[in-house]
Parts: sequence; structure tokens; C-alpha cells
Amino acid sequence: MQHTDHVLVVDDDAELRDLLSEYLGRNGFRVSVARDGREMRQLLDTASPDIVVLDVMLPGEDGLALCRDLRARSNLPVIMLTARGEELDRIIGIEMGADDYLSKPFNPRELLARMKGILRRARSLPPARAESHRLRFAGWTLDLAARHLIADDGVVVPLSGTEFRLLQIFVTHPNRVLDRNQLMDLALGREATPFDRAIDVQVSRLRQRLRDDAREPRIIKTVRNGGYVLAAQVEKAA
Amino acid sequence: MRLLPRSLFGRTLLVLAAGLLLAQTASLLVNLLDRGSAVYRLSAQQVAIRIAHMARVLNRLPEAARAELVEELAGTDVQILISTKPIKVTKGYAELDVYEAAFARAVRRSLGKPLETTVEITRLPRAQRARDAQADASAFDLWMGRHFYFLQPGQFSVVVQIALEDGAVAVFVARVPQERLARLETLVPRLALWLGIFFALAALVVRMVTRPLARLARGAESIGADPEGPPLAEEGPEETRSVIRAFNRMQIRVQAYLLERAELLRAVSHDLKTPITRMRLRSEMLADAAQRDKFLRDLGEMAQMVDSTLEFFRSLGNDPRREPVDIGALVESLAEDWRAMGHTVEVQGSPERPYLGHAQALRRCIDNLVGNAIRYGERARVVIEDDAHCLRIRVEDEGPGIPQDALERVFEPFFRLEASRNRASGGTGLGLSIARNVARWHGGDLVLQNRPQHKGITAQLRLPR
Repeated sequence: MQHTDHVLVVDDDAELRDLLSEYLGRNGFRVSVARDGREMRQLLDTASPDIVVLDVMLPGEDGLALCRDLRARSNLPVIMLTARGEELDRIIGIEMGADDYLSKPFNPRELLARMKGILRRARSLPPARAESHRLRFAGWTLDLAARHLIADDGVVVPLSGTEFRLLQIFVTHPNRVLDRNQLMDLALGREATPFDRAIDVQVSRLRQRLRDDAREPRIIKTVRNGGYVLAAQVEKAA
Repeated sequence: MRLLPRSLFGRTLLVLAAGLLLAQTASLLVNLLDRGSAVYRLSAQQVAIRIAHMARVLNRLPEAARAELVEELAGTDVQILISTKPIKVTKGYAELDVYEAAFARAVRRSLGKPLETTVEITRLPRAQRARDAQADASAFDLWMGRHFYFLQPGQFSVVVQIALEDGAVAVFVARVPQERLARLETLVPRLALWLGIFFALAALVVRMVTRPLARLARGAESIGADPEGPPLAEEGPEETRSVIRAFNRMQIRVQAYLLERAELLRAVSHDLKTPITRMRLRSEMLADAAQRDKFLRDLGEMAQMVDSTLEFFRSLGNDPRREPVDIGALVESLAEDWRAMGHTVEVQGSPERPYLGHAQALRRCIDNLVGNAIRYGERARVVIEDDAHCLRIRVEDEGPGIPQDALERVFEPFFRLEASRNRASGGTGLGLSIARNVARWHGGDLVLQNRPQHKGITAQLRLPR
């Protein structure tokens, strides 16, 4: 029998909680719901969920504090729901160790896709979280909240959505060979077809952004018959 | 009122100058009429006594000795002539009769003896002093002499004829000095000097008043354009300061009012988020697929409106900080995102160097323009032009264009061109407002133009370096 993913929804809005529970249930999840941090902790012990969907605005202990607390205890994936959607929330969300965040009013299908993506990534790659919204590597800084690169000389280099997702995978998994299928799946959200060059096109764009020589790349190296690897030390930046 | 100058400056000067002139003239008249006659009377008294004394001496002397004395006395201000009969004197002016009578009385009083005395005060034109006939006495001189005799010192001669006891007549011609103040020649430059000093001072004072007013006007203008601007500095005289204070208080109230309205709109938009989320979930679970899709489309539109309304209020985020931005990468990356969704976006040109600006805001701005071009014109072409002073980004489409008279109105929040750009084509009516906000924050501007030779419009974004 296929494994049914178990999701824990934490939200203080009873109606939204019920609707989410029903919607996710219909889409193949086993769902538990909690009204606040206290209920969440009880359920974590008894229900052992695979993923947590956590509202930022909660009575008592807020979502950000709960996320940090959760992160300290386990590698359980967390998606934060925020009604504010402001950059500061995203920064804090990332620093608190959330895997993703969605701002209300989110599209339910988007939530579903993100949850599946995170669960897939959690199985495909060892979990790696930034814990800082700015990561430094090879003279570059990737700003996870603003979703752009910053060069050594301070110049901001904006990235397209795909470029950002791809680079995010690389910098959270440095010095690890990532094959085309993994990258396709995680960055483009689809499976590679035979002779699919989409990932190679994206990687070459990324190299261009990083001013990396395509013939002799130093940052993102090509692994023969394997895929690509980010050949750099990654550290948290202030 | 039409004759008054329009500016406060001009009016004040005019009123002050007229007042000064009036006061000067009045005081001059009083001065002359009053002091002139007083001085006249005083000196006439002296002269009358002297003439009487001389006449007494002459009366006593034998005829032969008189000539000697006359010679001795010559050269003083009184000229003496001994004649055998009375000389003919031009008749003076009727208004001087009083003085003549007074002079005659004074002479007689000092004569001691009842000698027949006649006094005639007569005006001698300037030329006559030079022992010339009236040849060069102009009509003006004569007119002045007749009406303003008191203004002309030394021009009057008092002719006193005293019949001596032996039948001879002693003729005394005295010049009566008058007040020097009365001289017209000195009066004109003096008044001019007065007016000069006065105008300079008045100009200074009036400027002190009008300068802060002019600044206030400029301030009012700039607050009209940007209610968030800094308050005006309190300068100038107290009256102006109080106007500026009142003005600044008004600005604060306007700001508070705008903030309140923005806050209200923001709060409403924010509070719509949860209900929209719920409705989206509810719609997803509708059994009727056609209904579900329609609901989801409407809700998608609502969500977009809420999003862009909130975005409008934070166009520049909480942290409007400038950093160098690679505009080439910015345009290329957002074009890439649109292409990933199956649209056609062409990019031409590249900037010479990074632009100092707000990366997120610039991205939102250009993304809105590209989004519009795709929505209304199927495809977008982005042209980047760069020079030392200005970065220009043109976004061109091939859509139906915009009526000429609506090219500015489309920047108004929530303005829609219903005819050609209906709601089915999406958009919230805030994209251009946000884009222009961002452009202006960077000191630049955003304008739309219909493309003359082509279909569609060009959005011209100008960002000064």
C-alpha cells in the first residue's frame, strides 16, 4: 500500500482549518489540525506528521517562534502561511528555518504543489536549510528573501524564477553532485524526458549570471555523465 | 484698483512713496509760508531802522557833503541815490501792500521827523541784477515771481523814498534776504536724495515681507505635488511665520488624512485575504467543474487586486535603500520568467554600467510594463538605452494602443479603459500607478506614447543617473 503523507495544519481560523483539512484530505493527505502551539506540540508527539503547515499569526506563541522551536527539535518540513507577505516576514521565515512560505490568499493548488515538492525534495536530498537569508559562496551572495544575487562589488544581479530555484538547490547542497533528473524535478517541477536539454540551458544561463566561464567553469562544474556540482564553500552571510 | 501694481511689493512702494511726497510738500509749504514771512519781517525791521537812521544823517548834512557819504555807504546791501525829485518805480504786487505799509511805519517811527516817506516793494527779475534789461527774463521766471515770490531770495527790492527837508529826495534800494531753504534749485536734488534713500529702505522692508511669502507659495506648490515633503522652514517676520506655521499644520493634517485613507484601504485589502483564501478552498471542492473554474477565476482576480493594492502601498518596501543593480540581468531575468509562461519578450541593448536604485522596486516597475505589453499587445519588446546621464528603458507592444486623451489618465489608480481593455484581459488598474511611483522615486518618470508608425504603445521609462 502506498504511503499516505500526514500533514499537520496549525491555524487559529476554525473555518480555514476545516476547509484545508477537507481539501488536503481529498488530495490524498492524512490531516491533523491544531488551533495553537499547545495543540501542535501534543499532536507532534502522538501523530508524527510528515509535514507541518503553520500560520504565522497565532494567538499566544506565534508561528515564527513555533517554527524555530520545531526546527530545534527535528528536520520536519515546515510551510509557513503568512497574511502579510512582506519581505521582512520572508526573511524571518527563512531564518526561523521554514522550508517555504505562502502568502494568503494563496492558491490551494499552489499549496499542494509546494507540499509535494518539499516532501519529494526531503526524500531526494538530505534536508538542508539556509538558516540565514543570505548565503555567501565564491565571492557571491544569494539573498533568499529578495531572490537575487549580489556580486563582490555590491552590484545586485536579479534572477529569473527558475534561475533562483536552481541556484538555491546548489547553494543548499554544495559540493554534491546533483543529477539532471533531480534538478529538473526540484527546479522545474517536472521530470526530464530523454534528450531534454532544459536543465543544461538553465545551468548555462546561471553560469552567465555568475560570470562563470562556460568552457572552464569554476563555480558550477559539469560532471561527466552525472550532472552538476557547486564547487564552492557556502557560508552564512550577515 | 486697476492702476495699482499687482504685486504687494509694488503696491507698498507706491503707497509709501506717495505718502512721503505728500508729507514733504506739505511741510515745505508750511515752512515757506510761515518761516518765510517771519524772517522777512525780522530782516525788514532791521533794514527799515537803518534806512531811517541814514535818512536822518543825510537830512542834516549839507548837499555837498551828502555825495561823500553816499559814496561811503555804497557797496552795502542798501544802495543810496540822491535825487531832485521822486523816481518812478514799477508798481509791485497788491498782496505786498501790507508789508509796504508796515515797512513805511517802521521807517517813520525811526526817522524822528515827519519826512514824507513812500515805500514800494518790487520784484526785480534776475537779469536786472546783472544791470541788464528784462531781456532774458523768461516767462517762467515772471510767472514764478508773481506766484512764488517767496521762493526767490534777493529778488525783491524795497524802494524807500524819503523827501528831505531841503527838497531833495533820498532813494534807498534795499534787498531783503529771504529764507534760503526756499530755493527750488536745492529743493529738487534734496527731494531726490530723500526719495532714493527712502526707496532703498522701503524695498528692503518689503522684500523682507515678500520673500517668505514667495517661498511659501513655492512650498505650497511642492506640497501639492508631494504631500509627504518636508515642512517649510519658519522664516521671516512674525506675521509670515504664523502663516507658515498654519500652513505646516495644514500639511500635517493633509498627511494624516491621506495616511488614514491609505490605512483604511490597506486594512480592507488585508482583511480580504482570509475570506478569499477560504473561498478558494471552498471553490476547489465544488463538484461542478465549470462553476469551479469560474469561481476560481473570479477569486484569482480578487486576489490579484488585493495583492496589487497592498503592493501599491509598499512600492518601495520598508527600506528604500539604493544599491547598484545590474539592469541587464534584471530585464533578462524577468523576460525569462515571462517566456517560461509561454510569452514572447524580446530584449535589445544593455546598460553600460550598474544603476544605483532599488532592485525590487525597479523589477516590479519594469515587470508591470512588460506584463501590460503582453496583456494588451501580445508581445513585448524591451529596449535599453544608456548614457552618462540617463538610463532609458522602452517597453513597446503591438496592441490596440490608447486614445491620445487617456495617455495620462491610465496612470490613475484603478483607472481602466473599458472599451479596449476590459476586465477579461486581467490587470487591476494599479500596475502603471506603481510603475510611475517607482520611476518618480528614482527621480525619473514614466510616460506612455502611441507609436506613430506602428500599432501599439511605447512605455518610456527614464531613470536619471
